[in-house]
Amino acid sequence: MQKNNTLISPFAKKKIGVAIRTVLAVVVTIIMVFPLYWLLATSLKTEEEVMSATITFWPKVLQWQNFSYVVNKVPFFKYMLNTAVVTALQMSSELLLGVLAAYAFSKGKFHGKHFFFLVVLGAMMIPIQVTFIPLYIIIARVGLMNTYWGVWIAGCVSSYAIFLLRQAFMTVDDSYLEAARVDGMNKLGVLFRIMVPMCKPTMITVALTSFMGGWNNYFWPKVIVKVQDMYVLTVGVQRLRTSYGGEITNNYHQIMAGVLLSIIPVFIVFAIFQKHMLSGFTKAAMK
Amino acid sequence: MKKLFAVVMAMLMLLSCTAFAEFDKTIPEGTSFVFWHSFTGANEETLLKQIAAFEAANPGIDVQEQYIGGYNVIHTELASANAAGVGVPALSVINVPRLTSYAKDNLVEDLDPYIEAFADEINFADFYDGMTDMMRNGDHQTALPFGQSGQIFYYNKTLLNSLNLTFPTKMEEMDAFLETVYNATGKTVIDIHGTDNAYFYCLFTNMGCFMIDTETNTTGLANEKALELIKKLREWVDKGYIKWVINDVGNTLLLDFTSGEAAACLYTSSTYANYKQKAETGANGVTFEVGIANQPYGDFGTNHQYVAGATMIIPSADCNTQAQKNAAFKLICFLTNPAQQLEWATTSSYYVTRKSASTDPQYAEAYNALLTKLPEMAVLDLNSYVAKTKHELFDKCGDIFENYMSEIMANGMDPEEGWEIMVEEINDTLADQ
Amino acid sequence: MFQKKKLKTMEIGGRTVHLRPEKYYWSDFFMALPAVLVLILITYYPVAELIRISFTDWRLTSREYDYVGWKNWIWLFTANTSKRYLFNSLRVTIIYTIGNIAIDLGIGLLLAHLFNRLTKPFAVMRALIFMPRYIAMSSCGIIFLWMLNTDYGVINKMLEWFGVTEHINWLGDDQNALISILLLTGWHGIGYCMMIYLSALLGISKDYYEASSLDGASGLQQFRYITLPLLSPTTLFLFITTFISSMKVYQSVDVMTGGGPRQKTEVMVYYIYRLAFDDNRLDRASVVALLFFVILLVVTASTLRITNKNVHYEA
Repeated sequence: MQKNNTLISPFAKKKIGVAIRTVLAVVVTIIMVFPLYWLLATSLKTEEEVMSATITFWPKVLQWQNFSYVVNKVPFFKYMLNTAVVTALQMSSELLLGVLAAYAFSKGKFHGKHFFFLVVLGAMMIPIQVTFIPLYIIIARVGLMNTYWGVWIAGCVSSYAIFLLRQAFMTVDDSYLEAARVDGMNKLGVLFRIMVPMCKPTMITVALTSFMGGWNNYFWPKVIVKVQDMYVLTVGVQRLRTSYGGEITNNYHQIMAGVLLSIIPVFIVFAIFQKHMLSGFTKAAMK
Repeated sequence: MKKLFAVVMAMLMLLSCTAFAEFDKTIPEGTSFVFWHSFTGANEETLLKQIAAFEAANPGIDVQEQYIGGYNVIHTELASANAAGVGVPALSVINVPRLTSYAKDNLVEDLDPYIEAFADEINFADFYDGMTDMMRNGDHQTALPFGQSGQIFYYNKTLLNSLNLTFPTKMEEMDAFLETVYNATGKTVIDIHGTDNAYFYCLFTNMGCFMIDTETNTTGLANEKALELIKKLREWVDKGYIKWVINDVGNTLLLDFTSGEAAACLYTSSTYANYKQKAETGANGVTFEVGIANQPYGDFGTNHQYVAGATMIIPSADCNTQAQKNAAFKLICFLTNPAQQLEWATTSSYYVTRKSASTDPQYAEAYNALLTKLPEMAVLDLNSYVAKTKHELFDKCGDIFENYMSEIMANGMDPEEGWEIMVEEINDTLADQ
Repeated sequence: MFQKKKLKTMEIGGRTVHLRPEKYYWSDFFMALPAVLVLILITYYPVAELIRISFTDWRLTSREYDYVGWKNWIWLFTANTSKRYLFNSLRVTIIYTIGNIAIDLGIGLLLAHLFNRLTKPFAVMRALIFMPRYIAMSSCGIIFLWMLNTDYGVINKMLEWFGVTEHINWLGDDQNALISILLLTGWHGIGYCMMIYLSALLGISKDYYEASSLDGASGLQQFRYITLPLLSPTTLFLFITTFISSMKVYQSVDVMTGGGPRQKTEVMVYYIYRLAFDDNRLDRASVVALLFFVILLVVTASTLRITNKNVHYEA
């Protein structure tokens, strides 16, 4: 194809390429964003408009009261607070334990290092939907049901975070560590003053992944929290669905309003940090 | 101290089983217990209002009611809480078909001693027999009716009146009815809830085909009559008379029916108030009057109507004291009382569970209020309701039944082939214990 | 273990030099310990419990149980019901996994190429494509449930514009149900794969392409002989992580189809969950769960073993 189009100058060819690529990219983006747009549009419609046989792409009249309904119907801000507390707990423990373990598995030397690392990675393969009953039984028996700690415990360490951090720490050259040690710095000092700052993009990526995991966690919080006051957002949003005869009927306009409200904080966090995302993943991808 | 108390209570409970021991029905001041339910929206508001009234009348009791989710969620949560032995509620709403397996596993209290001890607060004989019968297992009352619903046909009364038709009461009339309505409207005549066998099972039993034949431990759906009915239904589906709805069912039925896309639908009686309001206000573009019809008779001659929906149990778990269980039972007494039942039925359109609600003059005013708001409730004769086969695998066999029905009705599977594998799969399930 | 303690030797300038034995630090061990202990508590202890339960007849709703030996294991390999549902769930899981890996990795790589431009509008579009990943699957499921509604969903309404007047039964049809779930999880996951591929693409030195351009290589050839091999460690990483997460899929199935129609979307984890909670047969759920772990472990380990030889690493 390249060779046939001798009439077109290389410069023009490049320009056409960019144009095609831009159009394609815009189309793909529109397709990918459409469900989110639909979420927004539905959340601003009346029930009649949502449930009508003819589709309107933008609400006839914006129904802001859907949002106030959500906030009044359920203790929405309490849910948000619960979610924030649990997410903060989860992030701090995942990062702290993750950094320590990642150091041990990258630069540390101890018996069974390989074996324990496999133990960590193996945990990724075990879905909580299968194993939660024995865990639930202990947590319930020690009285952590309906508490922040009970929700936190199942997600307090992440194998994925340890793995990502280890990959990043391995790329730090040993000479830095030697130099620091010569200066009389102990291991924790080396870890927190040298390695962590050097791997800042990965730290941010791990922190964001952990934030996302905590904020969006659904299965375990649903199991361990039975009291409405302690619900997290994902569970609380499901609470907005109505049931008739024990069967769920979706009042989509209100649920969508709830979903939208519940993800706003996530968008804010990502809008701030998203430029770090790309560089953070680089090291993970490079084995 | 708590442990000692529990031991004493356990001993008391043991004693209560023997004939001469007295059942300890005391409820000390400050008893509080947890109640799990599955009601949302207006139903939940009414329930909360009634619970508040109960607490006002019994200042020593504190009810901690919690909405848990639909039936499936409640069953899951109950099972896991039971396994842990902690966090089990003292009172819970469950779905009727689940009760048999719970009773078999001794997950639920035997309510007989409670009914006897609280005799002045609950008139057991006043419940509809079909309802309480469904909740008896091995000569013990294991649950009491609350939030009962039936599987009924809603129809567009305005449309049928204009066509000079009534909703058929017999299966034989169905063919002509469907054809007439379809020819007049060109639209679906009946939407059927296709993912819960409770809705269409009744059609089969009225032809004499039952899910489980307890004597042979095989399925009665193996009867040729069942195949005939399946073929008939499929024929109606193919002709466009019937729409077998299998996903987002609640919303689709609501939309189809209230927007005039379907002249009738088969769904739970507990959505009556909602449908009626939507249809009468023309919320989805069409204004009409809603009618209700029972399941049609089959040529087998019986007219079975089955109770379904919710039922109230007191879990037997030791983490609740006898006092808490007593308090829970006291709440059951209150909520199932005819006055409360009438109020509950008026907002929720669940069935009134007490006979006296419609006969006793002291409730006449409330009963008339119910009929004013939900007039078609009078169509349903709750005395004709009977219990289904009580078998712990009924629910599971029902799942298989509804799976194949969806397959045949909505996904084009050959009726005979589908019926054969369905029968085999149910029989395998029954044999596998 | 023992080999490590042996003195290591090294050839330097033709002479064999004995090196000091490697030193082990307890402090390093204690740094790894908290994470390992917690993981043992929250994931390995339950697995050990499942092994124990697999030898009992524990119904979840019953408080007493007995040890019944190998009964459940025999059931697993011989019973008609087990064969029927187990093989079905295995098949569904494998089809889903292959589909999901193909979508995430394939389209992810294509998008990485498409969006590999460092201009501001492209950065914004990248962020938008990555966005679904921020949202809880339980919420995404509801959005898709609504969009895919047969009669009132926006997707079928939009398909009408293109002449598809027969509404597609997205969730109730045998073939479509799994496709719908793949659509949801694909939409949710593609952005992540794109980001990872993109960060790897940015790491490939321009020199390779310039040199090959001078040699007259076409774009396709460059992709085949330079990009793909250099991306192989990334592909392996994504393959393993996507493989594991696809095998473990549960949430999307739960919201969208509940395993139906007729178990056509009943993946392994969903089947295990159904055994435990619909049937209350925790004993049987345990044996199936253990079988599931073994399958996952064997496949992951062998993938790593096979691919390790064929992966190219950039110096």
